[in-house]
Amino acid sequence: MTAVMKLRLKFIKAGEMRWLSHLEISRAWRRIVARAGLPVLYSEGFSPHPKIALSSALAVGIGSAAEYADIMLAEPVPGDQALERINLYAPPGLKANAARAMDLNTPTLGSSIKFVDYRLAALREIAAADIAKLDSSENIPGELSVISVDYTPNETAVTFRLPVETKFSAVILSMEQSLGLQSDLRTIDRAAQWVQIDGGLVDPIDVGPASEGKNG
Amino acid sequence: MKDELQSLLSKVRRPGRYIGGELNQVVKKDACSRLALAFPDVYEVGMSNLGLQILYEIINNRDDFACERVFAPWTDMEAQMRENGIRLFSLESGAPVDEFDVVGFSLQYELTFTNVLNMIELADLPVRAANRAGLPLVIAGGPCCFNPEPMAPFLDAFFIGEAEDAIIEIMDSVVEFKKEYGAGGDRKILLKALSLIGGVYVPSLYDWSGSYPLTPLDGAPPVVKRRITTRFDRVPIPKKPLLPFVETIHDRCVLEIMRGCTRGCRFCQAGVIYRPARERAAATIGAAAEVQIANTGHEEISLASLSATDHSEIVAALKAVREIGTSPAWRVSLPSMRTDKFSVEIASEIAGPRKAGLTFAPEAGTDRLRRVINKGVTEEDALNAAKKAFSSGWTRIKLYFMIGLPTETDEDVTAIGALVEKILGAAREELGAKPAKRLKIVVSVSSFVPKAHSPFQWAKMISAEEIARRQSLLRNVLKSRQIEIKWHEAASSQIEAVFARGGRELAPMIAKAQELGARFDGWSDHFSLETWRRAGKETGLDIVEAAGRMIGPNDALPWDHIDCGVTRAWLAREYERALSETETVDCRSGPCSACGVCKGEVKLEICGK
Repeated sequence: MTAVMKLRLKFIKAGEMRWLSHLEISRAWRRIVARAGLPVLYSEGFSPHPKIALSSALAVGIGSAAEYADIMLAEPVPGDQALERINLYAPPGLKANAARAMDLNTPTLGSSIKFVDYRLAALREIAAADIAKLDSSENIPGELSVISVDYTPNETAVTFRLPVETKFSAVILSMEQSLGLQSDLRTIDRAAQWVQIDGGLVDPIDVGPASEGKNG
Repeated sequence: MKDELQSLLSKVRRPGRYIGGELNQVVKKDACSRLALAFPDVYEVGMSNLGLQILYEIINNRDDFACERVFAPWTDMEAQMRENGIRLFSLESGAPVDEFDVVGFSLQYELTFTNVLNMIELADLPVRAANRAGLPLVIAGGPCCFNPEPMAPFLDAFFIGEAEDAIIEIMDSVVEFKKEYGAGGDRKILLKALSLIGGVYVPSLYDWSGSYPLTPLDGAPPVVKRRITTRFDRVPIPKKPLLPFVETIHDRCVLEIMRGCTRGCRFCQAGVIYRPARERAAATIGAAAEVQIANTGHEEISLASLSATDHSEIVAALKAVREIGTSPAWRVSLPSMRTDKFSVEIASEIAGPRKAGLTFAPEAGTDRLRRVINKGVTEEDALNAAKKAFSSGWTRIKLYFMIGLPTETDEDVTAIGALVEKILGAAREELGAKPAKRLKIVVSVSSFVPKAHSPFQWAKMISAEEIARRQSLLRNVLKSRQIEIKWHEAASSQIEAVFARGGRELAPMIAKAQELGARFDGWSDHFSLETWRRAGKETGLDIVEAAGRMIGPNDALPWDHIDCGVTRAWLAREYERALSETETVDCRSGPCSACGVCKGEVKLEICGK
């Protein structure tokens, strides 16, 4: 069978689900899609696998507001309908917030995502000056740019952007050192992922032809 | 989940084991009584247990009861919990286990005993029942309860048999007790009430003077009769099995198609303690499978039973279940099969695009020894089954054998090698040259361990040295590259043997071993014979001697007060017949051998009869 539709899904990894590994998340999606009764395509061969491709692996313990999955379908299903069916079965921590039909030749998530935003939350106030230094710090591998800093009482959240090829674990390690974070580091979450189109950054869910099925 | 737990999770492997939140999980805020189902092994093993899924649904189907789960934390998690003062907690609500009304352990295999003690300790409860007060009640069920004595001092009550009805009766008693006396009430009152429920054994109501038999106190029943579920086809099947995120041992739906077995293999405890055989109809099986698949999204189902090919509607059941799956990855599997009943029809029903593993259990190498154990299959049966498998497209099969069976000689051991080689030869013939590249025969060899309530309960286990000698004998005759041998650890089998037939005298050794750090003894990388030797020495027990003990025909047995339904006289007769190489025919097709289990409502339940 050949694919007639590529369904792109945007979902979260939140709450206790942050403790799942990439493999576990991918197994969960296989079951959710099966229960939702979506006509997913399978690979050929001795051990057929559903054609579900997730965006790049996220380490155990890291949450996300912007994970993606491309699901190849054998029959067309309207995006909003797919979204509704999926969310009947997805646990709250893996809820999908958008589903859209993509052109079949839309580049894969792996090849098209160029930048990733992360949000690091610490249980204390971090001086703005220290954060400002991060942009130019030589200790941090790759090009980090700070997007925003949110202060709430006793908590600071820094959102920063990295090119996708940057070694994330090395960045976090040097940030922890530069900012002197230890047990006061609360959470790290993926905040957004971006594809680059005509020099601008676009949410991978907005790459497709129509805007059906996107709600939030 | 509490913040303090979150910080632990970043420091352990596979934190997904501890978070719950799986599909079909039941969380109840208001329940008048709560039970924590405790499985004394790691999450991946416990979640593969069928009994756990059955009880989880039965208890949670009652609006006023809540059933939650807890598994043995892996050693890294245990270290973190101890360091940070975190008590054992349930997955559903994250509540400390000691705040439940009942903690119910599943005792599936002896090598989890130290984990039971460790979990009680991690729950911050006294390990010995005598030192506990009020609730929670700490109880156990499962096959190891058929010889409960080694664990008697640690548990408040054991449940003997099939718990489908009794678990609710136990919970009702607890509710009544709480209403009347409060959670801190005198637990003696509750224990007395529980002892009157059929199948419940309260060890503190029996005096042990250092030897058996026990003396019942205070009107406790002299014999505790196993509970048996009747009209099995009508017993509800779990509709919403829990669907783990973490990959488990059996990552599939498991549907029990038959309980019990009529074959009477003489080494087999399960073949006795689940008697009589009771089948579910093919239509029941098909309908239940459909519900389970719809509720889980699983792409594989296993039709569980002790002897699936004996089921009188097995082909119809396989057909019904096979038609349900729509996924190209859909497959149906059967646990180990008898070689005399494996047919081309069965082969074609379980041969999909994804072939499930195929396992046969000839158990012994010669027809003589198979007569001794009453396996009732011949070498010809085994060869025929293998031929059918290979001609139906399988290139890999698994064979189960046991060494150290009573009356086994060196010829019997080397004959295993000859049989495997013959099967390999048949495979090459059936497959021709080309697919033979993938050809593999996995030979799994375990050591015979005498079990309570089996005809071989009086037999002895051979020594570790003798096991090693017979293993090397077999190794020398299994040389083909396509044969892969898997050995069971001889040392841990010895410990298993000690517990399988021991009494309360073993309790101090178990407590000592746990204190010395014994955990996960069923895991070869965790098992330490040295720890057990030391625990034995410090508590005055010689484990080698205890394992190799031969029990006299008239000796009192530590499990004489546990009535599994089959009479001791029948077991003794079967042992005698074994020694004279006499087979006993299957009561499904032949005459009744008067094992004693069928009476009143309890009888063979065969489809169409």
